[in-house]
Amino acid sequence: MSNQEEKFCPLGNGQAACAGCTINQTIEPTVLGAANPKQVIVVGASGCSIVAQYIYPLTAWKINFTHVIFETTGGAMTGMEAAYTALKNKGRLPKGTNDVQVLGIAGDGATADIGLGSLLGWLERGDPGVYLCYDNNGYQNTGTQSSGTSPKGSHTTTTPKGFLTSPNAQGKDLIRLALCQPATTYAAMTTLSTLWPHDIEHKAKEAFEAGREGPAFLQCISPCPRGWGYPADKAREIGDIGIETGVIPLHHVRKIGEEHVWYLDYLPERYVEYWKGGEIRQDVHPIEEWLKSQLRFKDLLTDPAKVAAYQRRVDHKWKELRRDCEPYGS
Amino acid sequence: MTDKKYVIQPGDGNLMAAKAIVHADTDVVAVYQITPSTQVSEHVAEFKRSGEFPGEVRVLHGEIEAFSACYTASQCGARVAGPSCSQGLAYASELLHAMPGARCPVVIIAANREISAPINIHAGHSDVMPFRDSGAIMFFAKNAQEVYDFTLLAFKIGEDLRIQLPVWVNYDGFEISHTTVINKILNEKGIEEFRKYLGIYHRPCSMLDMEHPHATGGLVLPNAFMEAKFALVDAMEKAPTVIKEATDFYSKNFWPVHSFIEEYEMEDADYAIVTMGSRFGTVKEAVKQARANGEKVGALRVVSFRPFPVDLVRKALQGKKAVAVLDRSGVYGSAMPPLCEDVATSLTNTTRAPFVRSFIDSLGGRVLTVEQALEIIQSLKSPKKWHDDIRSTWVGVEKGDSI
Repeated sequence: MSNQEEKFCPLGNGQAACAGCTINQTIEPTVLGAANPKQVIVVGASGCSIVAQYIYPLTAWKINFTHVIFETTGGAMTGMEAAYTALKNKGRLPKGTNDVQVLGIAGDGATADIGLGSLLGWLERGDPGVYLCYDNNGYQNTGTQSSGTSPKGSHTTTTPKGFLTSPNAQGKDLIRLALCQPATTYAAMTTLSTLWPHDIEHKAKEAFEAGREGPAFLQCISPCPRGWGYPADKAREIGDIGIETGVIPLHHVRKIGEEHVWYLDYLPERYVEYWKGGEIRQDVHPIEEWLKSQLRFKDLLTDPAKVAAYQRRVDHKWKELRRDCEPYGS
Repeated sequence: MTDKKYVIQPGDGNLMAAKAIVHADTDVVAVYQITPSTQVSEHVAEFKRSGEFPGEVRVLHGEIEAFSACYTASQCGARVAGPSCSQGLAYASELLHAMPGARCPVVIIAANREISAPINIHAGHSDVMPFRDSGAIMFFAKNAQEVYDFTLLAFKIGEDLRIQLPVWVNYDGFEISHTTVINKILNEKGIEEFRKYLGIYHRPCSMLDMEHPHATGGLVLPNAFMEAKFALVDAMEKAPTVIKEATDFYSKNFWPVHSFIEEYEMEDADYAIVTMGSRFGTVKEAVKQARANGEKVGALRVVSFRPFPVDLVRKALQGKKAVAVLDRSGVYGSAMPPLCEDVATSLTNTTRAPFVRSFIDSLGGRVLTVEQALEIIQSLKSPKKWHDDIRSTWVGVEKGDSI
């Protein structure tokens, strides 16, 4: 039986993703995190994922999937949950439908910008389900425009050479945003890496468990070779650098009772002493390693002040993380 | 006495809509409140609390979210209703345009109200008209009774496998939504009979059918896009048959209901007024008074605005001398307002076509008086001066070209 389960792939042939795209590697383990992946119903907002997995008449989806308008993933998830509940209560579910879980999939633009209200509304309503944000730090499907999660100072076509046309692209913290709603049962940040290749599977499993009780939010930093400027076969190496430099802090938050409890999942060497109350080791995995790994930071790297500012922002993130994790001894 | 299938229910249009939602065994109602359709969601919430409504009610964070929930709930095979109007429809327009293409038979219940600016909360059809070419079926009710009747029938018509389209039930804000009148609604026996006829919604490719997984809503490129849209034309062509079947059943088993048009004193009339919605009552009164003075005039109401009953309208108006079409939404910079455009094009390329004159009245809740309707009738008698002039007359507006 376990063999059969292992063989099941929610995504099959019929792909149209760019070479080296990490969205499939993000979505597939997420779906497989459900106790019963074949009972997962998926709604995907407009974005890379729609184009990558479903250009009519080809589709890679092997489970029930529908597309919804860009900015309304949360509402769409509520509709699916309401329909399931109504038909279950009336005894009208189709044969073989018994353990449905709702999965919403949206990119960072559809989550952090145009659909931010939709995400927060869904979290506030407390509907059961899992929301996956595949975060490739920009509107990559339309040619790399800046989004709310684009790092400040990175090159996108609307922040050319890192020039900020408006105060967007400051690198929103979606985990903290998700936790502003008391009903949120789970929030986690993950990425694709060689260091922790199973991190996403593990967190998806936790998200689907927590998602039975209420809204669970999963943010996966999904590297984009085209938009970020790195060789198409190096996605997981980029993830490794993100983890080690502290840019992508692997952590998760669970709701226990009424409290949101913070857990750090991996402590990079740079912050080991700091975590115990000492100093940050500035010589270990400095931000330059991250910046030099991708062409989008080419212009930022020429300005030492901007590099220092980037480092300060990352270090500050760890200060906040330590503050939030400390009471729980993790 | 045992054959009685109805009870008398005093109530306004919003209550009648809510009652119909309950009586149609609706599965999901997704709402965000907006004047003047708010009470539909209030009533449904109360029916849920009291146990009268066993379906699910979801209050969301705005109309675009509410109709997004309607959209996916329908794709999961649920029977769905979404009440809204005005700014709410404008805000949800992406979903309202997506529903026909995705073949979601959601029943959209709209207490029509003007659209800002200037901001106004009263009746007007400017909220629904931007959706007239979205591919949805549209009814315009003339009173609370019809709100009830058409809401019930909307589920049957929209969910029919030949159709699979959203159905709008439009009714004038406040004038119908908030005016309590005496109505008939189905009693227990009637509800049972109607539900038996209605059946449960069997969506082909429901998202909850796990034994037959499939994906919908993919990116459709130029190779197939026109075919996907042409399927809506096919459904619209079948709609009159389906509407007729449903309204015939209703009329035979419960009480009479109009299907496509309603005629009043039209047979021997030389002149006619065409309108939609609650103003038909005013127009009928004017026709009655004009008839008392020996004028040969009649009134025509368009009931199903989409699909537009082209043949029936042509047949009703052919051979008349002149026709006034009263629209409740303005146009700016185009030849004719929506209803007049459809009436006029129904008469294109036909023999014995009457003169068609466009009037725009009652915007923003302004009341069309019987006197104004009588003036419109009088003005029809000198159609010759309209040669080569198709401008609309704004009724009651000083610079709006008389009347």
